[in-house]
Order: sequence, then structure tokens, then C-alpha cells
Amino acid sequence: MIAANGGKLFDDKNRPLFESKQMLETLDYWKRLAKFMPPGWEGHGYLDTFSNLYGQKAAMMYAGYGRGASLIEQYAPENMRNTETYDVWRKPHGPSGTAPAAQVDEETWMLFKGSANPELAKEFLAFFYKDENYLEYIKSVPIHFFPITKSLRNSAAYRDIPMVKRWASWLQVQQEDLDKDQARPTLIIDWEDLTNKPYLLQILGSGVLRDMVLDVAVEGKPAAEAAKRGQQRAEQIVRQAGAAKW
Amino acid sequence: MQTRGLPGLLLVLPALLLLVTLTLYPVGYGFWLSLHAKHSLFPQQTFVGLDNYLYLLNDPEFWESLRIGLIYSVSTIALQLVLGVAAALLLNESFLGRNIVRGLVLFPYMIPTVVAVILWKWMLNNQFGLINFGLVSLGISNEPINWFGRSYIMISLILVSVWQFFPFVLLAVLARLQSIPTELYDAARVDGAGPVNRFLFVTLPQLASVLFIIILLRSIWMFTKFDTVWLMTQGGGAERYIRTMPVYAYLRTFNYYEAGMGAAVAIVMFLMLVVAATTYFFLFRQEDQL
Repeated sequence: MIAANGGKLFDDKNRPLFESKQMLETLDYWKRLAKFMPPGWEGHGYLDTFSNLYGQKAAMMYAGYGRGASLIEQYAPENMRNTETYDVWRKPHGPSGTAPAAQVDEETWMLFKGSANPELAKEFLAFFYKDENYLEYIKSVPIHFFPITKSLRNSAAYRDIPMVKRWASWLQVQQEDLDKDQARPTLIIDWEDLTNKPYLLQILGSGVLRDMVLDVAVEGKPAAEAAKRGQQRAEQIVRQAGAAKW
Repeated sequence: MQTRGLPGLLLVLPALLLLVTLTLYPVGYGFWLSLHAKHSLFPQQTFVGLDNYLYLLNDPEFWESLRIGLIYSVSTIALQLVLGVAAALLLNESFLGRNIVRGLVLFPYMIPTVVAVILWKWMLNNQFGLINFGLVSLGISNEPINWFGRSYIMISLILVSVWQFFPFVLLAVLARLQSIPTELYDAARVDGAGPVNRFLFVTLPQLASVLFIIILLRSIWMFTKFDTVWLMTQGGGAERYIRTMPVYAYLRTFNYYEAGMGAAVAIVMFLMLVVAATTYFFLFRQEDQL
């Protein structure tokens, strides 16, 4: 959301920017959105948000995932299990932003230093990503698993999967996000954040961003107050991680 | 050299080794870790002395977790005692099917915690849970209650915990009730004592020693309870409204990746319990001689 509002989470010296204009606008947006959320939304888990959608308790999910398609096909009323009823909308951008932003799940492989058989690991990856093998992996959770290889993405074998055909418009949005380079992993605003900001996992795990949203949307605190508290916590986390350069 | 004590020492040595390995070593290592800044995933650490403890003194999250932890433990202990004693008194009377009921009331205590929590999460679900269905159908509530939202999640947690652990109180109290000499009650009746006075002046004093132990053990276990609390939200949703100290120690270690800080929280909890238990024994020491 902050990216869609033209903001960043940290500056070049790793100082949090939680009290920025873009962040305050984003928090205010959350406060306005909260009025339309199902009662008790703050206590809902991941699957509850889907059940709100296919159970017709909510008209929209802000951050939905491709696996929602299979849940809709299983549990929504029969006449509603289609893209005419449930479709994906490219996220809007905020008043200070110019383009939408989306979060992407990624397929992360790690080859550890000192591994006993690094060549074997590389051989396995080459085998895994052969179209005919990768396709089987993708088929296990179609729509949610969007192929990272263009060769498979463009292949008839992939496009002919019945579920892919039924939910093609969902995949189109994912493709557009990737084509326009507007999808990033969690908390990554710029691609160099992946290497320049090693403390992001601590920021995510601490819940500081989630708590800021809860402060404004559930506790009703002013955005500036929530942002100030978040800023202090985030600064402490970055310092504890030894990454503070300001 | 005296060797008479040697066989005895050798006989207790296995138990001593077990004690050291499972109790003293983890506590000692935890204290050592709390004096270091250590990333949870990497082997290196830096000695920081008491810096972690000084940080906690000024950490609003720490104090909030202490406040929430005290609310949770005091509430659950009080309710477990009331429910457990009441149920024990009831099950001490003769009635048809008493033995079956005695077996059934142990069920919550016997099932694994994860099963208990999943069971209650289904029953308390605000969309399709049985509890809300009953409340709305009976007209007690106009609309489903959000048991896992900010306003009710602590109540839900207390409800689950009391349901799961009151049988422990019941068992201990029932066992003691059955050993109270009936002559005491006969004498009280002769003196004109009614049911309430018999409970206050015969039953309660007789239960004092077992209640002393129950309160001590339940206090320690509820204050350090992690599994039930964590499973209610698994770190998401309205978790911050039930973030007790054990959960905070876990988050510091595995979400903030600050193993030293997590250890410091755990050591503070340990010291608090030692002080509380010592104070408890000092105040009620006459009871432990009963």
C-alpha cells in the first residue's frame, strides 16, 4: 500500500519513514476502509478472509491470493463460482502515488555454502524447472502458483489446464503486475531492498506495521500517534539489527 | 575416609544428573544468553551485560505483556478454583450416574491442548460457530459475537483455559473431600451449622492444604502458559490483545530474531515466579504444615 502511495518504508540510511506524509495517508486510508470491514475483522485469520468472501459476508478482499479461486469453486454458491462474480481488480494508487503495487509470493531456493553436493542441487533445479516437471508442481495449486518461467507460462500445456482457462482474468492481472514491474515480495519497495535491507524479516515479525494499522483502524488513534509509536519501534529494531546508519 | 554415604550418593546420582540437565542447565544457559545480543539464526553473539534487561525496563511491549499476563493468569486461576471446587462438592454427593459424570468431567483435561483450542475455535467462530448460533437463536444476543476480535478475545482465551484446566482442581479437591472425616460434619450439624457454615468452617479449612498447592501450581502453570494462548491466534489477528509474557518471549526470539532479548524476558518471568512463590510460602507457611 505504501508503495502504491509513492512512499518508502526506509531511507538510504535505513532510517524508518513511518511518519512520512505517504505513510500517514495510508494509515488514514486504512481507517476509512475499516468502516466497511466485517465485524471482528481484526481477529480473522487467513482462511477467514476467504470465507468472508465466498460466504458473501464481504464484497471485496484487499489482498487476495490465487488459491482463493479453488476455495470459491468449493464453497461459493454454484451460480457464483466464476469470474463474472469474483474478479481481480488492479489495486488503486494513493493520492501521493502514480502507479499501483502488488505483493508477490516467490519461489525461493537456497543453496547453502559448504553444501556437500552443490552440483547435484543445481542439477535438481534444472530438472525441476523443465516445463514438463514444473507443470506438475504448478498444477498442485493452480492460479496461486503462477509459473516463473515464460516458457511454461506461454505453453499450451499450461494454458489448457481447465482451472487456468476458467480463471484467466485473474492470471491476466498477475501477468500485468509482472510486466509493469509493479509486484514485489513482502516489504520490498525497490529491488535493491532485497540485499540492502537485511532487517526486513525482523520488521515483519515484530508486527510493528500491523500494530500501526490496528492502532488507527481498531483503536481509533490518530494516524500521527500510531505512526510515531511505529517509528520508535522500527528504529529500535533497525538499531538492534546493527543496520542503523543515521 | 567415610564411604557410608557413597552408595546413597550413587543412587541419587542419576536423578541429580537429570535435574541438572533438564532444569539447572537450561536456566543457566538462558541466563547466559540473556547477557548477550544474539541473532536467533546465527551462532555469533556479543556480550552486552545487563543491556537487555535495561531495555525491557523501558519497553512498553514488555509491560503490556506483563499486564495482559496477569489479567489472564489471575482470572483463569480464580475461575478454575471456583468451578473446580463447586464441581468437586457436587461430585462428592451421591446421585445416579455419578461415576459416569466423574469420568466425563475429566475429558477437557485429557485431550491435547491443540485439539481443545481447535474445538473451541470452531464453536466460537462468528460465522458458523455453535455458541453464536445458540446465543442468537435463544435471543440472548441480537447478532453473532466476534469472539476473536479485540473486545472478546481475552474472554475467549479465559473460557478455553478454564474449561481445559478446571478438572485438575476438581480432581485434587475431590480426593481431599473424600478423606474428610464425616464426624466433623456430624458435630457441626449438632452445633446447628447449616450447609454454608459447614462449608466455611469444616470443608474449607480441611481443603486449605490442597488449595495451597493447587493455587501455587496453577499460578505457575497459567503464568507460563504458551500453547493455549499461541494457538488461539497463532501470532496473527488480534494476537496483541492476548500477548502474554511467554508469547512475548517467543516473539522476541523467533520473530524479532533476538534470542538474547527473548531469554531476558524468560529469566525475568522466572525471577518473578521465584519471588511470588517465596512470598506465597512466607505468607501462608502455616498452611503447609497442615
